[in-house]
Amino acid sequence: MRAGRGILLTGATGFLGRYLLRHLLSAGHGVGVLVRDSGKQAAAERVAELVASLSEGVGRELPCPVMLSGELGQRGLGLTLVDRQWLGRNCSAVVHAAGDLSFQARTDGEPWRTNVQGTNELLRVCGQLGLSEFHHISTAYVCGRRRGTIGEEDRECGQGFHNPYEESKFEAERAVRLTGGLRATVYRPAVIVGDSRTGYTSSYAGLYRFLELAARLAEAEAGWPADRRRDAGGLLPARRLPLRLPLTGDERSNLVPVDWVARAVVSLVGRPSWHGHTFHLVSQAPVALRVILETAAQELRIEGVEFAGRNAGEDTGRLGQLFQDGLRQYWPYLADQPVFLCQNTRAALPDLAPPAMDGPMLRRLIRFAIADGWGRARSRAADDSACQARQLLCATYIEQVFPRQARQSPLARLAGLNLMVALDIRGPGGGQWSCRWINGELSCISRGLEPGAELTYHTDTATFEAVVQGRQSPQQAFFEERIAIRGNVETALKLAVLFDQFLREISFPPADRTEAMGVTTSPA
Amino acid sequence: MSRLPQLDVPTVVEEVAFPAGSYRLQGELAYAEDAPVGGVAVLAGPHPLLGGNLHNNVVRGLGDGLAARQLASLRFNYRGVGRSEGPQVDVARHLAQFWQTSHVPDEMDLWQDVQGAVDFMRATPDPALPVALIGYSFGCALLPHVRLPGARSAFILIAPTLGKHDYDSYRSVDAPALVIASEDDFAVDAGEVQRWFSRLAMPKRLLRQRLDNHFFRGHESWLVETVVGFLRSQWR
Repeated sequence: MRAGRGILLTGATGFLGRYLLRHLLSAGHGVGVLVRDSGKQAAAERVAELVASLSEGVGRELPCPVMLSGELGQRGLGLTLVDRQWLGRNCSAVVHAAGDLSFQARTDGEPWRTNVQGTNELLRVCGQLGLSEFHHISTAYVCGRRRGTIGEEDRECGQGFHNPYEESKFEAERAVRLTGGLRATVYRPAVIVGDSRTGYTSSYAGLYRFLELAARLAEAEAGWPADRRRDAGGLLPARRLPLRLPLTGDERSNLVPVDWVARAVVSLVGRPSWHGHTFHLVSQAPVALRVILETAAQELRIEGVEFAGRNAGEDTGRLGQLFQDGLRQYWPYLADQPVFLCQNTRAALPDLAPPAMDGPMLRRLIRFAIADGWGRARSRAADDSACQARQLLCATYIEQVFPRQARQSPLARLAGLNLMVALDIRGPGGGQWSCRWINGELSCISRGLEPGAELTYHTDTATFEAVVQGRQSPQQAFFEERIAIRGNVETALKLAVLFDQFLREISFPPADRTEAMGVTTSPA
Repeated sequence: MSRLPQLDVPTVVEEVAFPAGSYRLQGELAYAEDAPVGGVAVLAGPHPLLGGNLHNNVVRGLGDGLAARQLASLRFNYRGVGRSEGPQVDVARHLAQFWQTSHVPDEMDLWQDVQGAVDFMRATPDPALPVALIGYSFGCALLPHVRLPGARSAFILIAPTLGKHDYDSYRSVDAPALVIASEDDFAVDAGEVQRWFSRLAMPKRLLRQRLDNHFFRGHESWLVETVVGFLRSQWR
């Protein structure tokens, strides 16, 4: 890292933070990250894992940031003297993305402890060490209970707040602005949702809570879960959920994908002439609740949910009341959305409009959430050993999952595939298989390397797993020498494109296929 | 070009978007952080269905490496790739056709994407700077269609796909050209390279050696040194 030009990032292991880290590193910034040691894992390990994962996502090795072990809430951020000196010598800017999302005051002092006290301590350390460029991730909802249009430079308007989260973020913004000697740039995103391209999220607040509750209510009513639809090839009937919502459906929700928010912030970090301003990072065309409901109903396999109108009051039935009670804290973000002006953002980022939050995008978000068990699958999966998972993966995928999915895909038939391909997968759980297509039909899969195979792909279980799970394209794996090819290289690369598209079709709806004309690496 | 240093300088990589025909393309602009720019380079990558994106090892290696030698570089995603806008296509039929023919309709129109990148670069640092057009694989076939009125330029062709695409237009190119061909390239016959090269009229140089088939993995730094050396000799 060059002296004095680096950036300190807080909250790097959080949902938005990991995207910020990825874009900062990709843009060539030297980055120091403030990470606390958790009970299970040392900070260095968490950052190393994170960077490895991000590198895989961008398809190249990202430089490792400098890891600073500490915590916002501690005096001096809990930094060692050596780390403080390093920070003073090497960094001139801070991107402050750490935050607590609690909507209710907790006994441990959150969200005030992180959002206000932590920010104040960070500001104090910045002053001591001469870090004068401060990029503060706030929220559009510091506007609190205000309605109508909200300007980017609007600050205290006696607005009042829905919850401690909004108020604590407001107080943090005020502290940032009042600190002398800082050039403060404030970013106010609307409701951050998953990755626009993959649907990935690690944060299941807001919109996701509504959808999950709807899914669980439907599950309770019908007696079977939404994700059974995948196994059954979509043949199960829709589940009836007689839910009346006290809304018109024309209300709009301001959702922004996490990858766009991160890209916008990092772009603005790189445009010093815009520093010192406030930016609403919001959708310019918020999505109507009716669109969300229609998409969710398809994906969750439910029917019977209806908008009963704003005057429905308590006439929303048992389920309606249950739904409202369960999500009371999020209700203000559905019913009375203000209009966020974004002249600064538009002027500063004319080349980076937010992606449209439309049906296909919502489908991606919902599908990821369902596959992820609304956040529960990941924690369950973490308990399994990777080796055990891989042992199951190769044989199960090649012999059971792939043939079933291949029969549903038109790709091989359209291409008229006529060839035999062998797979040699090394490592625990690996093995050797041969697959034959005749006139576009997958005719057989056998164990072992058939001598008549025109192509053989050699790889390892970790790479195979990354490809099948969509974390890396097969072509990219070849270019990184994680897959070797024996046979006609051009044919093998073309087949890799077909397989990549096949995997996309399995993961995404047909409407999204047009974006995949070329080959792109899988995002984190 | 004589201003280009022998040693690397710190660089910045900035994500950009630029117009090309009716689309906006995603690119990465790399340049020396605190040093003057001695020229610009536009990198046209492989076929979009054969690894042609801005993450490609040759494209990225050259983009970053040239920037460190004070040559501002632009790598980009062709239309429809990554976050570049592109036409609506029936992807399944598109890929099926590519599987059968190794071509897709209108693929040669992608020269317009290179033109957009060149126009962007000529407008960005300084219109008077010399321009290096660098093609890799399929990208080589697009370069002779690019218009560079009044610019001092040079062509770098890395693993040109002779026999798969039309390279006759190079006969009317008069800017100096460096051709780098791998002796073990699956995509082209060595004799074909020699025959085509001998018919070119511009000041030219042909380098042939084993370079990891068509892929140059592990040879990225060598490519940077070779390209910088050629440009230095031409742009003195």
